[in-house]
Amino acid sequence: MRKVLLERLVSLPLVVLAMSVVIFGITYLVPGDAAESAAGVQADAAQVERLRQKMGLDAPLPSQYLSWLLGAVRGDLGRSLVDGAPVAGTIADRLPVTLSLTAAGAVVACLLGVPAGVLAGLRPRSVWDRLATAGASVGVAFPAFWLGLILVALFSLRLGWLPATGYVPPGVDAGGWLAGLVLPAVALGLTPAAALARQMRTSIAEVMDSHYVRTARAKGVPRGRIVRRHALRNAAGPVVTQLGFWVAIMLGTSLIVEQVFSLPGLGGAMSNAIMQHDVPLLVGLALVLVVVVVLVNLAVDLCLSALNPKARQA
Amino acid sequence: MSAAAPASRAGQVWRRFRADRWALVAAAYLALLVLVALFAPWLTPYDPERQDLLAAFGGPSAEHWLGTDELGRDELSRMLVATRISLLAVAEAMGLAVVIGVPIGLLAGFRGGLPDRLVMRLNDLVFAIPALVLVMLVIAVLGTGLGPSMAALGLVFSTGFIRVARNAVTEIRAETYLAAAKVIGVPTWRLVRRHVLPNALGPIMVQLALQCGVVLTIEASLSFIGLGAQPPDVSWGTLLAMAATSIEGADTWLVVWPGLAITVTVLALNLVGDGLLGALKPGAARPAKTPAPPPATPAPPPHVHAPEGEGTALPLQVREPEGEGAAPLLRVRGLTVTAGAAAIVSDVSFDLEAGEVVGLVGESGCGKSTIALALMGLLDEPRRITAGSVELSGTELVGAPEARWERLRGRDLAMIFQNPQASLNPTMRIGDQIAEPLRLAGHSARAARAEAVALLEKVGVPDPARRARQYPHEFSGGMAQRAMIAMAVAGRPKLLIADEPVTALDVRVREQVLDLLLDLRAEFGMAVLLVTHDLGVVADACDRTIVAYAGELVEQAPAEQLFRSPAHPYTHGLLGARPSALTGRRLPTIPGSVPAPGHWPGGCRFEPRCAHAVAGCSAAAIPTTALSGDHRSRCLRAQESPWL
Repeated sequence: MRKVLLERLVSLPLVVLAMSVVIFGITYLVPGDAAESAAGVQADAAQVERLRQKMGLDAPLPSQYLSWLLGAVRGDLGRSLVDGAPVAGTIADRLPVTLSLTAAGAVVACLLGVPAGVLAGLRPRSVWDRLATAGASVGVAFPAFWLGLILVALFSLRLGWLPATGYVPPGVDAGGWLAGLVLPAVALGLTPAAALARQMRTSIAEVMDSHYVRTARAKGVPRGRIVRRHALRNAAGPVVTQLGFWVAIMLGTSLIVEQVFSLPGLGGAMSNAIMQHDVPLLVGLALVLVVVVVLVNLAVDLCLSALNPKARQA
Repeated sequence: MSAAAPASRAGQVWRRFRADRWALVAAAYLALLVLVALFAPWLTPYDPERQDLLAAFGGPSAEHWLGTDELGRDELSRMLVATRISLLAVAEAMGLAVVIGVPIGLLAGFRGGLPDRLVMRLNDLVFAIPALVLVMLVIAVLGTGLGPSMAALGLVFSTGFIRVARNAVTEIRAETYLAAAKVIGVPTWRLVRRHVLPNALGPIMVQLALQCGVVLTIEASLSFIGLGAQPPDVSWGTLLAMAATSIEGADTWLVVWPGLAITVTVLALNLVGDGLLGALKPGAARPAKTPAPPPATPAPPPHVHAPEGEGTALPLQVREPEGEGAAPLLRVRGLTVTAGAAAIVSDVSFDLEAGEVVGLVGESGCGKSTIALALMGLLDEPRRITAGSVELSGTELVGAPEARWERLRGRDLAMIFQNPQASLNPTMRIGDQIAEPLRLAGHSARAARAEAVALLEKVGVPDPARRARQYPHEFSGGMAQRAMIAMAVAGRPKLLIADEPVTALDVRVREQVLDLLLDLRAEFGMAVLLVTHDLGVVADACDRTIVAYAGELVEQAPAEQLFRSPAHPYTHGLLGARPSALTGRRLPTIPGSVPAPGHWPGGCRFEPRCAHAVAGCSAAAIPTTALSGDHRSRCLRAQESPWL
């Protein structure tokens, strides 16, 4: 476990660094001139030129990147071209919303997908299995934001059970925070739940067919204990891998879903940054998302090595 | 795969694809959708832009099947037009992805080396960022709107095609004909066209179908938040965005239609993708059914409770009861196991005394392991005991509820298997696995753990306290089998069934493990049923031997008697097929092979392979003949034994 952690701690910053080059390179191509937009429409060419020098925009790309990187390491991601607000501050305000939503989506995915998959996998070709398999096929096809709209129409507008919009920080009102997250989390988590159910089904069915489960039966271990003590842990590996993969996808999808529920996450900032060519904000947002994905992958690796003693050595 | 037969291969794939009903329906739906998209301008019942504010937010009606929107425009007409835009958008994005990705992937795979590594590293990096975010970044460069956003999608999703095309090339690069063609100077483009592309086409099609669904969803998402298609272009996503703004108090139908269209289309694309994947898998024919018995030679009905001492048939109680009429430890009578329609074990009867070591031998496919599993109640579907009786210490086990089996296993009955490492739970410490049956029997955790260490020591695992904390992958095959034995004997069973316990082990270790089994038998007084194909093992270890052939027992005898004067030609053949330890020369094997269940001859099942068959052999099922109290044979010529 320690070895995996050490290895990752070396390689992960490198991945983030490489991604920052890619992101910086892409956004360098964003049309529009930052100095021009910062100087305003009234500025003449000389003023714009002075501003450009002041902002360091006349420097070659590598040196621009380096000075950005030096700032980023210290937590300074620059200022927005539109309102001059520090990018790091905007992200710090909005990141908790996106993380809450994604985490809640992951919880929904696990709560729905794992039991459905286990039930189906333990009784292949049963009614349960057919239901879960059909449900998973359809569930994978739902666009999350549409599901969000339907849920709002049904549970907020028709039935009035849950709030349609708004975000309450957990520090202010934990209950309100949770209530506001239920519908978006279900919208976000359904597709991953379907995918997890599929994976769990295959995985547990395979394990229940294994030699070591037969051994456990030969020892007289009752079926329930076999599932709990022998099968689940061995079947969990591929499911955890799959979950990590889907959390990264959910992170992206949450940027859309949050807008259905008017949650103040990174998605709104992202849309604005794209439409207003706000390059520093764009770079900061993309980078922080990369960091989250990389950390999720780290968590997956740690989980896998905790689950499987063989992976700990490798 | 020969490159000369792409047409027939395509035909084969299509036949398999067609067998998948859902995939076929999905493909038909998609074809219809493409037609709708092509002819949308002529299909619309109304001008999709004609406003009629008086009819705004009208629900579904006879005039407007899908209702009207906030400006009174006909929703059906708008959906039809949106279908055209949505499909066009997906086609643009995927077209670009294929045009960029496939050539790069082919080139990377073909060239190998540095370009390949560079392309693959870049591909890996893409996984560190959600695809949607990367698409958004590229949109920031290319601009919003349908064209630029689809170009962005195409760029980002080309990476998947790079990977698929590259893998298809590296897969066949190793093939000699490709290397040979390269050497004799066949132009690269021709190699690609003739050999590489046909091989890559399947995976690319699958990727295409599955990615189309993802791209369709992302297009709708982008249009929904205003980064994709924008009015006057309406896609399904744009329609949803407009419906969302009027969701409060308005008509929910407007939200339903576009979302439904997206969901059904993505579902159809996934079904087609899965169907293609299944159809392309080599040897992906439908699962083979268990062969039904040929009608000409029906398997003889298992005579379960045959009357005692009838003619030359096996008297059910030939063995002299030892002591005063004591029942044997295990009494098996007429045991029959079927899988589906075919019997795989029929009419098996034998006894096992306490403390006895009995070998159950035969070639693979004779039903030995099935008999062993049946005795443990561990048969998996579709194998089932359909007739007969298994009594352990006078208690009938056939038909016992699973709960009773669970109490018996590990305590009265135990089993070890052929492949010790695969038979141990890879994620559980060895000590815990040995302690588990003890815990189930009510020992405290501490006592069970101490006993597990003691057992490991007893089976000859050095440094048992440390080894108990290790996992199976840290054990060698021989050590793992010792651990399995420790686990099996933990509950002091009366009967240990060992299914090929030393077959997977090094020759060097075999004897040690076998000796260990015999020592434990002596110490615990348990009976051992040793299932093996190796007569050498029997000679070393067994008191008595049972020979199985084609699902039935053909001979039973005390071990030395069986070796000296086998009373069945099959046993004789097995003995002859044994490599001689002295000369190291392998004697001729029995010609032919064991007939599969369902294809057993009506008479003697060994008759087609037998050199000594006579006229009566194939006439009817052969009963068991008792030669002496302990020696029985299912052969017409057992008395004369012409093979000796």
